[in-house]
Amino acid sequence: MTWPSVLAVVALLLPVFIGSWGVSVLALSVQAVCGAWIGFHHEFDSSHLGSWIALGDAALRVVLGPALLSLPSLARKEGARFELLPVNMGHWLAVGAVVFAAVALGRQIHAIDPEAPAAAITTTASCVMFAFLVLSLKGQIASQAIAILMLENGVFVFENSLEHHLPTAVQIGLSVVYVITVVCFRQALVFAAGVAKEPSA
Amino acid sequence: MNEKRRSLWLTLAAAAGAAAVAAFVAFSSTETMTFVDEFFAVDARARLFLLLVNVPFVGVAAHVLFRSSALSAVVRERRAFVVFGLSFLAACNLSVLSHHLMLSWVFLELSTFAAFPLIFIGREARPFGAAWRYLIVSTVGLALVFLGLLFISFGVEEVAHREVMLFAETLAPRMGATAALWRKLGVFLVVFGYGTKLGLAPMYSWLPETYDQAPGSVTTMLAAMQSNVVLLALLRVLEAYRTIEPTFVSTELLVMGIASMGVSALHIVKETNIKRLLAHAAINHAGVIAIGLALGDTATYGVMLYLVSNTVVKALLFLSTSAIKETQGTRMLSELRGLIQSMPYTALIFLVGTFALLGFAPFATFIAEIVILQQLLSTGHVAVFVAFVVIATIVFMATGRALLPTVWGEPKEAVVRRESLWPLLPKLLLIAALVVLGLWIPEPLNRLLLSAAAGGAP
Repeated sequence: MTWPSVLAVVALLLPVFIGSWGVSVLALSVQAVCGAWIGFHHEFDSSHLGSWIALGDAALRVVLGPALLSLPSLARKEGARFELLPVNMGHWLAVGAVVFAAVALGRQIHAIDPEAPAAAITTTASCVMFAFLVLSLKGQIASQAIAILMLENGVFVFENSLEHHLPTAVQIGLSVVYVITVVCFRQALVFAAGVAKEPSA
Repeated sequence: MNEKRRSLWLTLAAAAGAAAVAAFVAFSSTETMTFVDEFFAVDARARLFLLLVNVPFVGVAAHVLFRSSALSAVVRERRAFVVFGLSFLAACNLSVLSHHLMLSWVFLELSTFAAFPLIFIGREARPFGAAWRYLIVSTVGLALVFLGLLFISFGVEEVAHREVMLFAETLAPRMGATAALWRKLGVFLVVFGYGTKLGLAPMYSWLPETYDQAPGSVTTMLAAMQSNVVLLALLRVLEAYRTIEPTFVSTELLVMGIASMGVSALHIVKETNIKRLLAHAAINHAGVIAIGLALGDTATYGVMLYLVSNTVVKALLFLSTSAIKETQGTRMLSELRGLIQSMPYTALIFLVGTFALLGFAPFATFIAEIVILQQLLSTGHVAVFVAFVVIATIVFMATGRALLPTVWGEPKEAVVRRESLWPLLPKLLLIAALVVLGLWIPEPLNRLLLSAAAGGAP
């Protein structure tokens, strides 16, 4: 499953070159599609309830999460001034270095354990390191929220590349955690966009 | 009964009920019980941690009901406090009871989400910044933990119905099949992620700000309840590996522990805010616990004793600080003087808590530190022993110098506020527990501590 992993990394890079809220949210959706694709072809078992829940979880990540973050009011507030990372050569190089390091890590792990899913590890490592890069460079809530969701998508890709299922109870828990994460981020974005009251005496 | 406070009374009743059930479960049986296809289990460790989660919440609920003024954010937004507070309690309890490492992780995440709105419960901008940092740092830390658990599961050979069975106890026998690479990667991420939630160096910066900005009751929930749940989750992962490699990640934990003690000492020396000072002391204690975990063996008993004592101390001090802030209107150490004159009962409680915090004999903190120090020497970690003693001395002096004048100094205004004893009852019970723990550990509790230290088996 190399090409969905590669596509997930490409989706990661998109908002770095096209700095808009819509592209960032779309990138999240594309990454989730890639993760779902890997999972569907790797471990989907129609007789297993967990597989269906995993599919539902994927649908949440592809549709619900990005939809909650791209509601018109949020898109209007964030769209005009949003940059996941400032669009310049320095950041392109930094992100390139992150992806290069992730590829090297994937190859190294594959050399030690040939059964390891090298492509998924590269994607996951890219997402984790990219999130750390954004979190260390940007203090804006919107950028940090997108970065963390990209990190979570990276973990989702690795989770779906495993040979075996997660238990159904855990799978349901993961879906609940994802939905609440997105709801919290959405509320935080709305709050930060101007709902904050003046501190009381 | 004040109509508006009915929900807070119900919260206190629920908290007291949960604590009573936890105490009954803790001391009524020593059998390990499992539920829901072994996804939940009550072993000795779960019994101890159920107590450590539920007892402080009684103090929190009582504090909000009796001590918080009608103007405080927690009382104004009491419906949110009740909903998210009880959700937090439930998530913490379920995490403690979860036998499956990933399910425990799920409930820990849910407790984080429940705490997030509580931190900025007044919906003001400054606490919101702290709440947001708490949320993102926690989410990143926990995401890394989950990735670590996935790495661990990658090497697990035996899979029931093709499902990943990461059960705390049954994982150990299957660990031999795990490739060393995945084991190391997985546990590194788990230690780093849970270390972040515990406020261990290098990922500790969120903690002082969050503890400072959150209402005192919420700070108590984070410091005295959630940190225990995180520690239990970490302990369960470590234990699975320690059965095949007794010194696994010991060096990493020792480094994180000493670094946490060191950075917290530097902050404590120059701190001017009473709540931030206590937050740095919490980082210091997390460092001591990390060192105890690194050593294992008898130090684990020291860690358990330290945890019990520390939970009570943190609850006492953060709740007292909240009462002091509400009465005195400030958290600045330079402006807090002579509390023994202006609010004598609270000042006395605060004083006893401070002595316990500083590790005075005969408090259990002192005994636990001695156990950990003894184990450091017996395992030949002389350099760590010296660093521990030096840092602990600096923290002792700096904390004492900062906190004791707030009790004994000259008050800014000689107004003695009448304090009713009834609202202080939960804190007095906590103090009684603290003193009893120091002078004589009741046999049932000692048995529980020993079983929990031995790895949960009855």
